[in-house]
Amino acid sequence: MNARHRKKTKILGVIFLIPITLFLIYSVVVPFIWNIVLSFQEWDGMGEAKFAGIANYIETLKDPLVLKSILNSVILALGSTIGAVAVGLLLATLLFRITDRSAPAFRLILFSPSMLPIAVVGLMFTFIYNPEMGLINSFLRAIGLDSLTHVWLQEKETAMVCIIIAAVWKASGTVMLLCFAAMQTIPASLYESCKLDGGGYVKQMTQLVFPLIKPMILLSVMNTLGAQFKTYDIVYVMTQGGPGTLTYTTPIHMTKTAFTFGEFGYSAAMGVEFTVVVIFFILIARFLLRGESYEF
Amino acid sequence: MKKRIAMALAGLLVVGTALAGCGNGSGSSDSGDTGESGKSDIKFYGKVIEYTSGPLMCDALEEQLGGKYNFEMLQVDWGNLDKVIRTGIASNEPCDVYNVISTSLSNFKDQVVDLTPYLDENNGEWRKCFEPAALEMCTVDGKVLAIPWEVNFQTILGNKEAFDKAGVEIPESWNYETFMEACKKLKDAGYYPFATPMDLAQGAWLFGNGMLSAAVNAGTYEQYITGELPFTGQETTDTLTAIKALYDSDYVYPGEGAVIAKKDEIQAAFSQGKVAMIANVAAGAKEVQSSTSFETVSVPWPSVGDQPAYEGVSNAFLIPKNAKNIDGAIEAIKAFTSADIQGIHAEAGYLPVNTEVEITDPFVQGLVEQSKATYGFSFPQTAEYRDYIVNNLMPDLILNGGVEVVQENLETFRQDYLASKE
Repeated sequence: MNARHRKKTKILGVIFLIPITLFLIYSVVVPFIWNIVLSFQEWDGMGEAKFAGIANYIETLKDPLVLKSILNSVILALGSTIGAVAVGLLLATLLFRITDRSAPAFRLILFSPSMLPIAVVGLMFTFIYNPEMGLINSFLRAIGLDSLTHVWLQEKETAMVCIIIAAVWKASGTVMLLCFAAMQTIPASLYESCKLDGGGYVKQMTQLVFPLIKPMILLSVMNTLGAQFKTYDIVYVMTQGGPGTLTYTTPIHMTKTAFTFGEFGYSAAMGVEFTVVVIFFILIARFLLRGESYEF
Repeated sequence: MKKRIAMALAGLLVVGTALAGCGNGSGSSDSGDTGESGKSDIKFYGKVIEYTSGPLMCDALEEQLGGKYNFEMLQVDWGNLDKVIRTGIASNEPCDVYNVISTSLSNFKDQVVDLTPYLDENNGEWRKCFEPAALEMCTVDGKVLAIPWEVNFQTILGNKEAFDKAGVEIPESWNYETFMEACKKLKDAGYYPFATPMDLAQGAWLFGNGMLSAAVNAGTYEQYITGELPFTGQETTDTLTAIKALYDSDYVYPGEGAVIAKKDEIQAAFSQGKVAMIANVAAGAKEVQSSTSFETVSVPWPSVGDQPAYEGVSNAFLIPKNAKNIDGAIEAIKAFTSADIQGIHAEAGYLPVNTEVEITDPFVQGLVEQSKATYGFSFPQTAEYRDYIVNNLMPDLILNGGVEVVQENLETFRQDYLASKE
């Protein structure tokens, strides 16, 4: 009877999974395979596609702009992921200490950047970085530090850093909430034991909490890394990949190559190469953050 | 028994949901199909919400032809025009009418309907409604591939108070030397003389206007528009040197960040009275004029040489060859470009293309006068060339190397264009 019941439950489960599986095949697997096929073709988006072999891949390896855009994407993704996770974890740590009625209000305030549309965040930071009437330069002039003012989104040394800061500001709220939720699942008895052993708040966090919530940190890193690698909107809103090609990222280059220049095959080849790069970094992240998970 | 019924119902529900999700929407009909009401559908990608007249013109179109067609009015996304058209045509479910900028028409020349026969019907009755120059902008290889509904060019809007305070008289035309002299006086009077936004294609307009006027004044205009004029020549050197001098002399707002200044920042500075002149498209000029607390006047663009010459483009409507309702699209475009609906556009302060529309606003009349110095053609704009002059020319000129670097890059594009013609 039990075996029969289990078989029925299994069949029902499979039936319920069919629609979402079909949807994932249609929206993810098929476009992914089609993109790989397209990367071996020459197609302007309107006429007939012609087989081009590996010509597109050879072209991408010779094109310095492709390599530059991949490098910029890697810098943006790693910088904003490390920043968002560090800031999010710090905020969760501070938030966890607040136990009175103000805690929900703080959580809302700290999470609110994540709720804003990314275009709004980009525009807001564009005005903050404005060299003439932006918040940063105005403040520096007001306190007599004119020499520290910059054209933040124009200079080679500061443009990408400014975009990373905006991305960190947007993403850290989500990381904070995930880590905070994970901290709350740790039994109070473990905190008590740590206190009895003479551990202060910092020791509790570093030697008890962080190791126990490592799986959640890994999840945050995976999510943020994936999102930041494919980010297009915040770069486009703030600099459009400029000035010139200074902050050009792969998503911007791919979109322009396909839809402005009509080189869909070349763009697809860039996409395949970029996917390999992203998988590489995600595997590295998984390796660095590997560890056991605990159940309480 | 109950469990079996429940499982069967659940299974049916799942399968039904999957089929509904994968199938076409039952309520929608293809454009061109006649619905139950007997009206056919038209997908009209031409609703320009940035113009106050845009939604009004679309409403008027629906009122005129709503008895015959079901209109689906779609908002125009200026930043992605080419992409939208390309993907629409590639999907085989394009809109029946697409708004396009005339300089991009050559990118779609094999995919759109030749409208010349429709213009020439009934002794050219429809053709007579347009200025020949406007139709010329939409002509590729002798065929009219789109119908213009607006001519646009870049003009300069000036703060009259700033000019009066600096003792500068606005001329009917000027060259870069006299323009720079005026900028110096404005700077001495405490204003930033000039501002031009990066997100309104500043590089394309500055270089385009300068290069066109340089070629017209040097007598090499025909060579320029056919791509035979080398970019390593004197015309280009003079143009780029004149533009660079503006930035190097700190006449362009906000000084160091001038290359990346955006339209919103610049318009804010102009409204605050910090900037004496801002570059703006003629189509949006009336709106800026209405929003300032001081008197705003239209100022001519400086030329390289004494004869003024400005690049003009038109906003136009094209019809893809694989549109479902070509006849309906033609009728819709005819109605949209008629004097009635174009009159709405003129009343709101924009520049209509229909010659039968009367313009009473003196500010708009001034813009119309300026438009007479526009030329519809310039260097053949491939997608890569256009991308370079819009996004990379100014950073290369001001930040990354100067006149020679830009000349080299432009010459590469010219050589590529000539090679592609062979």
